[in-house]
Amino acid sequence: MFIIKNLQASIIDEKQTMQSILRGINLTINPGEVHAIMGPNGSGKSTLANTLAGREEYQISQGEVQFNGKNLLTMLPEERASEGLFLAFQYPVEIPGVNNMYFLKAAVNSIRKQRQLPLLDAMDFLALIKHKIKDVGLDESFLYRAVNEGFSGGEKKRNEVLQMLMLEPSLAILDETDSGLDIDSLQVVAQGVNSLRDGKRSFIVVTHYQRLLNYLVPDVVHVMLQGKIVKTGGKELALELEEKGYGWLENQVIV
Amino acid sequence: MVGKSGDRMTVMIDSIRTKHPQHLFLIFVDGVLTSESDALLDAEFCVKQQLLRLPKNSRLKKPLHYIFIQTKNEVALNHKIILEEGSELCLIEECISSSGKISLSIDMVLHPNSKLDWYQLQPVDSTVQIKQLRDSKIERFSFMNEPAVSKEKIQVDLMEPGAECQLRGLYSLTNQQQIEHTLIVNHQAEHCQSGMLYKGILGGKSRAAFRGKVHVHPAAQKTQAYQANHHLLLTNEAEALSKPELEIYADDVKCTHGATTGQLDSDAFFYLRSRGIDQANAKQFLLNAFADEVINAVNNKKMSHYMSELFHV
Repeated sequence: MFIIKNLQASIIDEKQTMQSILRGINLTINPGEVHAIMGPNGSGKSTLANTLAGREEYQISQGEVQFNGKNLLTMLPEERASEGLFLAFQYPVEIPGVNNMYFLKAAVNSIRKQRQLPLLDAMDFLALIKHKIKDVGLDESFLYRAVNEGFSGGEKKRNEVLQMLMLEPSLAILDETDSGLDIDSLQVVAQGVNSLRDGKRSFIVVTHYQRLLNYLVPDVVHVMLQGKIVKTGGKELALELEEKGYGWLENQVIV
Repeated sequence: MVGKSGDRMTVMIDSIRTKHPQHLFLIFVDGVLTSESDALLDAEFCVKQQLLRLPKNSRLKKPLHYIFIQTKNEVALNHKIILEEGSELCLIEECISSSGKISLSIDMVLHPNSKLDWYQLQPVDSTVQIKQLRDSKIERFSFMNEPAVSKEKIQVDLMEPGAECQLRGLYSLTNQQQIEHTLIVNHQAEHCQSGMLYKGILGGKSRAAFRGKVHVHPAAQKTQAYQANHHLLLTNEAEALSKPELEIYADDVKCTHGATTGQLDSDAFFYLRSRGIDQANAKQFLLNAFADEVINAVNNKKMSHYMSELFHV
């Protein structure tokens, strides 16, 4: 249901030169699967996540992405969300003056409207979110604050997981959601994802650290180096990387 | 009033009256007070054509709502407003012009301990001189998004200790609209407070110029003066000019000023869209957030709500 073929993307850097970041990504994700993507800094993991979400700064020169049989790359970010894609950001932005609850309700109902589901009224929405906010271990008061404003790193990531639980995507991409988190927050993230694993929903978990994968056990592990997936394996591959680092793979890659 | 334009005016007035059933209306057409106004000539208050005086310790329970309608080319109106000691007033001025220009020239004196809550909506050409005596307080809110060209010049003299003046403005321009704000606050006595918070959203080829000056005289110790002017540019052609000035001659004061000109936060815009919110709504979220800082600063909740409605149209 999610197929990436030869995806190539670049970005214009601060010196106005085109930098090639994704150099031919191939990936197939079947319903219900959890794919972990690991790799050193600069390998293009975040670029992949943001390109799939529709960030316009990245220019796609080649390749295609099929999501539920549709061409993802021609869809606007809000259309991708309605189709069922969700990105948990690595660095969630603060939005002063925009109320967290008001934003979440607008998001949930935008997507429900696109899917031709009945919209939630204020009462139903409040009941639902009060329930879910407990699951991510955030106090209800966070609903009345501006989006991510003044939230700690852990709280911001929990807010991402809350949104994921509320929007019920069919493909969720977690972009280093575990980076900088303490064990408690880490377990909250893992629990959030695991609670959504229903055999149909798929996940791409971009991670820098193997630790998350103890709680969130992947079906497939990929390693990205210099804009390409260079190795694919089972969950043992993550352990091997933790032990050996990325050097042994870098030596194998002939550019 | 007759004719199509007259009908349109009637509709607008009726709509304003319906929104504010509690207000006392004074309606001026081309500078003349019309009989459609509410009767205000009781013994307590003196409202002639151009003078509004509130006697000592009086309080007009209902907000006073001026509607200035102008159908001819140019009309100049001079008003004098005097709040005697201890009096309180909530004053709203709305300008509706079908063509040309309304020039409003307002002279105000606030006697000790008096209080004015003042809203100016859609001013076209406004010159205001305010003298504040001991412990008097003014909160003024100016809102503009309709006139093609708008100019506002406000000068406040804080003449005696304890006086306070808050000047807030919100404007949203598009097409080729132009606006010019000149605000001058003179701190002439100690322990006075002033604040300027002006924010503008500029689209199309609109232009905004803001000049804010705070002058703190040598005698004005313990002054607190804040100035902030922020512009949000929505297009490449829009232009903002911001010139904050602080002239400080006393040495025990707290003064700040800040001016920014920027665009919509693209990260925030993308974040909202990535959650399924379409472009138009995502943009509106961010514009509302920008404006709300000014709207929420309005203490009078009914008026704050009205400002919010005007902005969100």
